[in-house]
Amino acid sequence: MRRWLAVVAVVFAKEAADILRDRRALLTVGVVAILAGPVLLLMLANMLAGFEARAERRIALVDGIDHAPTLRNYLLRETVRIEPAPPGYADALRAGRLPDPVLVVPADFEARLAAGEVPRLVILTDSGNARADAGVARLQRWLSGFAAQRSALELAMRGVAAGNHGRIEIDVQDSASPLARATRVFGMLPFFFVLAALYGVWGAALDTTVGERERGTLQPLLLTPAAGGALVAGKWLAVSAVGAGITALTVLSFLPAQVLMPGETLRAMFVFGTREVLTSLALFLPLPGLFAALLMLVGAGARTLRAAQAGATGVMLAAALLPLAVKTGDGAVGWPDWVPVLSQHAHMLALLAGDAVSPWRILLSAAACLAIACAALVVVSRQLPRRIA
Amino acid sequence: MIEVRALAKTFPHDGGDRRAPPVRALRGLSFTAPDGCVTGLLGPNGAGKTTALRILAGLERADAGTVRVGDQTELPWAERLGFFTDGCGLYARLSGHQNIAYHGRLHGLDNVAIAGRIAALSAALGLDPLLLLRPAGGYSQGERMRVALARALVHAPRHIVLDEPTHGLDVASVRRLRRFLRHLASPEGGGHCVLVSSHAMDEVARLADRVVVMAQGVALAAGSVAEIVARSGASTFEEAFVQLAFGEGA
Repeated sequence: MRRWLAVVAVVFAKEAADILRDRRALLTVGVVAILAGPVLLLMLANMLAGFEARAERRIALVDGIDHAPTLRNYLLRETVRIEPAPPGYADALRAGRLPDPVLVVPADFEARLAAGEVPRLVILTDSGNARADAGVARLQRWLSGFAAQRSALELAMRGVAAGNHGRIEIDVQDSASPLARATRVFGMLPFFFVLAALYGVWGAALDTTVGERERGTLQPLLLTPAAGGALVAGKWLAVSAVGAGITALTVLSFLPAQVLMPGETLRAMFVFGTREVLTSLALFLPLPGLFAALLMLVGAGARTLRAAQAGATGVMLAAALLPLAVKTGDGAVGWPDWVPVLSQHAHMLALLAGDAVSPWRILLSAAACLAIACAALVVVSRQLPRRIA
Repeated sequence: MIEVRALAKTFPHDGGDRRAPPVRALRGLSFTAPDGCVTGLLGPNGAGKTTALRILAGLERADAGTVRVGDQTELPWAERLGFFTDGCGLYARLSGHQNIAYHGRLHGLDNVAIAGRIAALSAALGLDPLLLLRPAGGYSQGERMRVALARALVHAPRHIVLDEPTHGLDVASVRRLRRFLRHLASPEGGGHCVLVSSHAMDEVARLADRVVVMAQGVALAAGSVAEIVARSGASTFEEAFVQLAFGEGA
């Protein structure tokens, strides 16, 4: 056992030195990891600020407002600025150049309204234009307000009290806390950490298996008295350690990045302090070990680096699509706790929503990663010597 | 001593083509490489030399037959065998010294022993100590070969198996390697068992005390160059080799 551990230490030291000397690859991965937090947060913050600004914007693009003086008066009283729709607005909406929907008023609007008929208004939007589509609800709200006011006035003229005409008052109350809302906004964070764990080990894991075979360095290695299991364990530890470093760097980069977020509201929404950082590290640091083992498995079974890269894409797709394909439920302990990536994703979302994640669930998640990694490494240590040719 | 008896190996198909017929690489190969002697395994391309050496090293499993290395008939014998093939690569980002030392550590040597072995092998193989400090990625073919050879011998194995060891070496390096291997086989050098495989007849004739001529997976003749020439009735070793390996009419 002592000899076995000594071999693991020797292989670990060599592999770590080899990986750290690949400065170009390391620099690329390191820079991406350090910049990940600031860039992603700024991107999200700007996107969110854009949405909020548009939600608060009281501008209505109208084609034919001259046909509806009553509606114009109402909108102006509601402090809505009315702007004429630009020429060719339908094409502009389709092309995504127009960020707001257009209200189209027919020429007989006012006449039909006066006659007690039901005039028809058209809100022109394009579901492929997300920014314009988001403004439809705002426009509908103003028009509903106008319709309700018209009904109340007509009933009043017929002698019915405005408060007694039986309409239902609807008051929408948002029960979500700022943190819960943040979960929706910053919900892509777990994806990001998972990807960081994956690309942190990608190159090194394939290089230590199929890369060694292609370079012809695997054969001399297998001719030493070192046990196959010890060689594989040393390689895996080195790759995992580097991957864990990249993942930790990515998680930590979100800590200072918060300062760069514009606006108090956004800063209040994104709470990522010491507790969140430590929990994130505990959640995501086992993942590089899992991915390293799975990619080494792919590398050990492949004949060429190119074939291994094609196989490794499957691991990446599984990691990226699993949380999208499987709903993790109501947060109660269940089978997703045993599924790596899925459990990290669910726990991270809970953490962002301000909920506590129990340490034993984190341990469960880590244990699942370790168990799968160990199984993969056993296969690698059996497969690697058989695939020398 | 290395002893090979009735070794047989058939590959199910040729390379990546699964429809190709099976390849019978070895058909009952038997030979002995004694201690204190350089034995040359000589044969044309496709004779089965590399397959035989890979089985010897434990990199392939034989379908039939036995291999004895010293007094041992069961794998692993990595500690007593030094194996080199010209296809062996080096870690490009590590220096030559680190490449050799890594294998020394995997063989269980401590740093003092490794430093001693590297110094001895550098002198024997003509490796400049400064060259060994440079990353191996920048080495020439000959430098790579010599460093890989030093790596294969770092643990001072009793049995040395070399597959095409002079491939890519210049004349001076070949002469130095020849001297080194003959020294290892001599009583002063420890009387090692040295087995060298090559398809270059002149090289084997110059280096080996004993030659095993093989073709189509079997050993056709064994003995000193003079014995093989005398037994074949040919006037030169080249003529004897062509007669044996390619048939009389070749």
